[in-house]
Amino acid sequence: MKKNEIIVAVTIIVLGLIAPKVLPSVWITVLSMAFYYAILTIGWNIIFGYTGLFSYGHAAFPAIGGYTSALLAQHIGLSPFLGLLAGAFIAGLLGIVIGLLILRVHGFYLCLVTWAFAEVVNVIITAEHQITGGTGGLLAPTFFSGPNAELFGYFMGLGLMMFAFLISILLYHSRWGLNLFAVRDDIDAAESMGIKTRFWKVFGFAFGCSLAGLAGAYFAHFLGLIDPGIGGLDQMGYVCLIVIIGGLGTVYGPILGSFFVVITKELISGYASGYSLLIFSVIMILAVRFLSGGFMEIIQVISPRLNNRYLKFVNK
Amino acid sequence: MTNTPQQTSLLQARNLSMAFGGLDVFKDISLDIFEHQIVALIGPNGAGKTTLINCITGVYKPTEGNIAFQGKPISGLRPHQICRAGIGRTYQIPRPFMNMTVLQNLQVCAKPGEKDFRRLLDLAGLWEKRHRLAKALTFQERRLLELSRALSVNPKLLLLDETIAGLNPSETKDMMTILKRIHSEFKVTILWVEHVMSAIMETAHHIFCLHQGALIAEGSPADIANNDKVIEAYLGEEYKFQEK
Repeated sequence: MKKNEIIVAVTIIVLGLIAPKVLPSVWITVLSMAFYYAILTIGWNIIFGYTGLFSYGHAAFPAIGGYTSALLAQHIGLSPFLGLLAGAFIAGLLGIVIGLLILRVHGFYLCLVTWAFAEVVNVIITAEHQITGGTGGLLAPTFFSGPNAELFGYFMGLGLMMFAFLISILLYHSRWGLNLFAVRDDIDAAESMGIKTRFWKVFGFAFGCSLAGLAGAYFAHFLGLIDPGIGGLDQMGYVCLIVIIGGLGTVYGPILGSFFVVITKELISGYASGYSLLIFSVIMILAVRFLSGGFMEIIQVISPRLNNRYLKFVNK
Repeated sequence: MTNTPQQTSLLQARNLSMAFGGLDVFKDISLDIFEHQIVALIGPNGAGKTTLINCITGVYKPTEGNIAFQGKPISGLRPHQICRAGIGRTYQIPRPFMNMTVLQNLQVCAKPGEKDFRRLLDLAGLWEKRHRLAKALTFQERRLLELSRALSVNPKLLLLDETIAGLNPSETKDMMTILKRIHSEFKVTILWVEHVMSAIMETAHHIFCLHQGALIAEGSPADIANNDKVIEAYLGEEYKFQEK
């Protein structure tokens, strides 16, 4: 880990611990949703940003993770904490299966296959209502009970997000990460240079899916309810939006994007809740046209200049 | 350059054929590449030179015939296995990993734990630029990066696909110096597909000439320059006069 990353991580933790004290209680839920999206999109960032696989079925994996955990809690009384692991595990396992299926497809076709998979998952969840509760959703036990349950759930989310963030940083700087980048940049050249591209493709995909499963299980046990909406196509839209305006392929991008989107959505919900998707669409178009690196691009341009100013200031 | 008589065969291709559908790219090619030589592969466009390289590296599976490397059969292996067996390659249009830094480009290919990339990057003159992204490099620098990346896998045999195509005369000269250094310092055998005859005549120990999917001649540069078949198929009549 680099110095900057430690500073950012510590800052996020400190802000996250202070936030419930200074913000009205409604923001606890809002920020918890930001944690959920951050974990989910860190996963997608590993799939698309690191490994270069444009998966359009990412929203299916939090549904799989969430329902797995909720069903296990309902039928065998598994604790929600172990449910997180179970959700991540099952989503990762399915990620391996889908990863093997998409080995031979690239680009647009990969997008279609994964999208079809997500729709299948959604249809199954909606149709098998004896098991999953159909569109009405499924109740899941919350992590904690009592008056402060929501606050503890919030801290749980903060911890999980930092865990996902840490993993994505470690991956970014490791040799494993380099293999994923090589697959993203030029899969044929990577194969000819001795990199086991098939393995790394599946690895990157399943790894991201597993984080999505973790996010889904957190979602279910934080709200105490999970419904098929979690795997909807609009959710996939949010995932793309968050990562692209945050900064694709960067470690901070998903977190930055998640907080921006979730907080903006909350702020405008009072005035123009129906228009939030419209507003986000415009932001996405502008970001893609003028700022393809997202917020991270701004930071990367500004930070050396600020650093120079700071050095000049200190040397005076 | 003098032809050092080294008779250990590094790569053997026997009765190699490659066809896409019903279209034969080349047919029944047998060749031996001996250790420590610079071997050039020449021929007109569409003769099958790049396809031959792709067959050796495992990108295509030859429809018939075998390839053996250091005595072991390699046809049918995946490209990454063939690379690990000791065959490195470069592309006609350089294909470094564009969104990775120069140093990362080497790190990802080298064996885990390998740390000393200074030697390779000094050779390419890219050590100072090691933290730049590959996409920020010039065309020639990308080519040099690709070359040092190919060396980072510690190959015994290096396959170069038109390494000096598209370079200006001074860049060509630099590249030739680097190729000679690679050959002498890293003890690699080089199979080099090229169109620039002056460069080949100066450097190669042995030349194969491919024409319409068949090997029409092989021999030392002097033999090739005076071979009537090669002159007819590829070099042209003027070349003969020039040489004399």
